[in-house]
Amino acid sequence: MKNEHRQRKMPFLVCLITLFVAFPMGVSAATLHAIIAVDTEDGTIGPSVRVDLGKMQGLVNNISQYTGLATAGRAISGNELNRRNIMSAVEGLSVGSDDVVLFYYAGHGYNPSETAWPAMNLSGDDLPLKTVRETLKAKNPRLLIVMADTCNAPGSGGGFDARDAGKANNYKVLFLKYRGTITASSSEPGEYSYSNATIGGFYTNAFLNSLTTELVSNQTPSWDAIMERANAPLNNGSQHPQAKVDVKLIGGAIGNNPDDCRNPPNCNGSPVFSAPADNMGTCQKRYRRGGKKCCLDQQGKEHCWSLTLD
Amino acid sequence: MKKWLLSALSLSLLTVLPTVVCVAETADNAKVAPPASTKAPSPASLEKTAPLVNAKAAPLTSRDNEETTPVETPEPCEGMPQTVKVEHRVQEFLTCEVIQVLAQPGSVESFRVKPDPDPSWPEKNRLGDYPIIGEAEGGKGRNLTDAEVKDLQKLFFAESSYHFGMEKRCRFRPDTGLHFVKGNQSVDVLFSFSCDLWLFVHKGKEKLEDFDPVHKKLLTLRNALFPPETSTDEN
Repeated sequence: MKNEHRQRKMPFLVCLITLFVAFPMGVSAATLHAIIAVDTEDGTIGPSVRVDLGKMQGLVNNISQYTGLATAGRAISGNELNRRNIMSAVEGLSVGSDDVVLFYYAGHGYNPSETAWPAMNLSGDDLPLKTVRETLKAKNPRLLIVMADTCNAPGSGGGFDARDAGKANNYKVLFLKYRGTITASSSEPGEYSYSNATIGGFYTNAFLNSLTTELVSNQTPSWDAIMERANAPLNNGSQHPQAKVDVKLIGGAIGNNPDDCRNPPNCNGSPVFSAPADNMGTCQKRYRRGGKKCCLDQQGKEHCWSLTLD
Repeated sequence: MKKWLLSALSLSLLTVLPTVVCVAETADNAKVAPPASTKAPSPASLEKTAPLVNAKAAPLTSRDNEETTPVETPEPCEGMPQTVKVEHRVQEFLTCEVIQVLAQPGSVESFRVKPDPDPSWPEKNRLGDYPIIGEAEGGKGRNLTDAEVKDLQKLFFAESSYHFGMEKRCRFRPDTGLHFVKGNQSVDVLFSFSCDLWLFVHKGKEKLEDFDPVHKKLLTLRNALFPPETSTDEN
């Protein structure tokens, strides 16, 4: 009789074990796709980029651990870092409707004009950040974060610690309860992006500090608050990060008040922080023309950008 | 019973494996520095380039990436005129060998250079690894005047001209270079105005730093040597 009872219970237990393994923390079946493209071997910025890589890997691990999102990560670095490999990883992603996609780039970059977003300066062909965003956006992930810690100037071309885990609940709100797209870069058009071998990219550090602040907060965490704080000027005001936050909270927040939104005008809208300012690093003359901000560089060449983030 | 356990185990493995594979993929990325692009010069352009006095070997290293740590005040470089003051951090960065040439040059020639390095060019036709643009295309500028050299020395030797302890995430792509000659010694200084970086090259050894704080002053000098209408737009 006992054996019969055990045998009847066994399939149920097996199912439970399987479910536990398949969906850790019983939260989500969704996946966090992380593509981290980093110029770790560059003779100039390699050491600081390696710091960024370590921090971003720590972040991905934490997100996975505290949200239950499965991780599908890919780091592209060293001599693998080129347009073909990045686009191959981006185009090859199979994204579910509840998935989160994080694209992060740290390396050389410049502004190709006609857009506020930088292009990645890769060996061989360069790659605009916007191309990556549009390709990923077309896959319709629930939440898409595209960011680059790189220069955005015209031309040719103690921070986050993985142990500062934050509250699991806050990870869940930010990565499971938001829908939309966040695009960010470490500097505005016409500006450089700075780093050093101790803290890595100044912007990556600022972003992760801002994220950590939100993760340990007792209030409902908000992407608007994270990106607004991360957009504070860096390097004595010579570097102004920029972000377009086009996300909204979906459903009820987990364990917190879903109506607790600290930036009421931005709760359901698409706030645009930090439109290009009047301090383009390499511009000799600045002016506005046809709804665009333009500058003449030292060689008399004109560069124009949209006044709003595209 | 066994069937249940077996199927559960298979399912579990299938679920766990992708994550394991992904983690392994992240950790095992090979890292090799990308090779510099090489473009062989055409014989015609070689004829047109302005020859240099001192030959230079291939550069070895890149940037001063070390942390700025407080060190003892270094002894002033030997044989320096009393009027030349070199700040300590600058002396550590440039070294006395380089400073002695920059402080008392017999001549300072100016050139326009190609933005991509090409060590395959003859040494006399490049500054560091950067090929000099042909003379017929305006690659050779005039020599610097004494006043220009003095102004430049003030910029070279002041710590406030640099951003020590940090770097920028844009590539060094020079358009202008200077060749300082003192006896049989020489130092090349290359300027990348698209990233505000200067590169000092001496005996094949490179030292790269930011010059953001003195961008305007250097640009004025560059435009005096190569008026904008004749400057290249390759950066």
